[in-house]
Amino acid sequence: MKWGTVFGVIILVLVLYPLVAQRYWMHVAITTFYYVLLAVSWDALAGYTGQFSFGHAVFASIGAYIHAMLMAYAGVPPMISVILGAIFSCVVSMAIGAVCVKMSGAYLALTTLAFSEIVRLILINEDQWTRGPRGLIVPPLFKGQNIYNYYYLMFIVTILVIIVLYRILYSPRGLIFKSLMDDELAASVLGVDVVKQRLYAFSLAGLIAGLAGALYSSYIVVITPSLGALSETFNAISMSVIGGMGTVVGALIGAPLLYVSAEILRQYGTLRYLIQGLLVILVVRFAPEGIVGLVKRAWESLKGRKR
Amino acid sequence: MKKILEIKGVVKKFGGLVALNKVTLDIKEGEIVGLIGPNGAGKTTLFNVITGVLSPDEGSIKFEGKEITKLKRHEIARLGIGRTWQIPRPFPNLSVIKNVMIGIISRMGPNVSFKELEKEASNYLDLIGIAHKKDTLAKGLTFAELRKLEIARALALKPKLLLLDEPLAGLNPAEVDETLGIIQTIRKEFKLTIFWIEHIMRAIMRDCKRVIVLNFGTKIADGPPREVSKHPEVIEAYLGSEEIC
Repeated sequence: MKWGTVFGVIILVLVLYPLVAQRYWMHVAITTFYYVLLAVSWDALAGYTGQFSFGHAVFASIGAYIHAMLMAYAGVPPMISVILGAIFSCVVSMAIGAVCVKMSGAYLALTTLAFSEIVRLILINEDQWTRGPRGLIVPPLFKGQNIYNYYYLMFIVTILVIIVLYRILYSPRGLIFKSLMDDELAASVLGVDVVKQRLYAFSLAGLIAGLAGALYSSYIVVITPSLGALSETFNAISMSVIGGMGTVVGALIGAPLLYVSAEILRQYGTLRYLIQGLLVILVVRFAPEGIVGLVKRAWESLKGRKR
Repeated sequence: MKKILEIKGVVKKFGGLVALNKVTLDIKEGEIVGLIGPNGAGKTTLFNVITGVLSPDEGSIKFEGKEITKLKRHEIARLGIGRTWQIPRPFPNLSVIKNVMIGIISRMGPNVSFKELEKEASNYLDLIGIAHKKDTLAKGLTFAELRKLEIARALALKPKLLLLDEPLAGLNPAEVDETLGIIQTIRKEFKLTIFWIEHIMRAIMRDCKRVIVLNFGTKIADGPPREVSKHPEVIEAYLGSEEIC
């Protein structure tokens, strides 16, 4: 009940936000939605099944480039190319999941990281199609580049994705995912099809990241291969870790916190990276379960005292 | 009685070491069979081969007449073979009841409701006697509780054949008696066939009608406990031959 009201208020605030926000803060909000999608989909993969992908942002980049090229070169209608971009990203992600099916920990991290760099280099070098680092112009989703359309589109998509993820991850399937994180061997002799579940998680994460990338690319107009850079992946990971991994809500807290604070700290120049890095270290050291874990613990000790 | 498990000529090698050497045995429906042998005899390896954790180099394994040698672990589990681990392998970050739910979900599919899961999982916990710990994370359990959780979790699969890998190891005498009671209860309740690795002879002698002995990967005896314990090769395996003594 209480949580319902909290979410209701947040949604209401976000619906009314464009009425008061300046153009610049509208931009910040849209980018925040993008990062929420990226962080929450990484969390579904890493925070639930324990597969630490270090190439997550590249799936957004794949979705974005496929969408942009389909629209620009093949004249595919906007929303269809977005969906095709997302599906393509989903398939590639599943393929990477299949390659990594026997890997975990550092090996999986390195394989996904290497894959992400390979894709980035391909995007840089195949410049007759991608225009490389000069950037590819993405056709708009709406006539006239109206920022309000993009705001509400990203907002609705984010809400829908969160609902879908919540329904999947807080269902028995989410429990199966978490059993993989703890002990795949024990899960397999309890009848869990480990390979199938791992691929499911990979394709889910790829689909959402690809969708986010495709939508966001039309908003920012020009995309470069740096959309899928490692720093972007690390951003998404930091957001999920700071918020609290394996919770869905964690990414919803972490993404706005990190991105909005980065915008506020922008006036301090490169010092902001230092501050952000420090924040990550502090959280990992003192609250490894993230902000969600911290709040949960405080809540429980408060309840304990009342009794 | 019908044979539930038939193992024929199973060989498993680790490099030059022959862990299982042409092991042939069968277990009939409703039996409770002990598996004993000195350390390193291949008992756990045999369990690993049956459950698909390891694949055998030669030989065949049939469960209820169906060839399972090439099947994947989860397929074997879903056919109705449950197991426990010698060193408990719980899901440490899941609560006790959620540990038990995993087997139920893989049996009933991911669309089962949490209400149903909770009801069924609680049943197993009640039966095993750790219901009071249901919301504790598995990493917070004592060793004896982990042993019980192992059994509860395997039961959630509704197995026809339950493989117990030293369920009594590391328990004190009172806990041993309690666990023996639990094994008898679940055996009756679920009409289980039990294949049981054990070092505590008292338990084997009392509860098993038949005992199989492995030594260096080879089956050296198979029969009622009284006879097996007098078998010269078994005595040699455990105590060494006369010349050495």
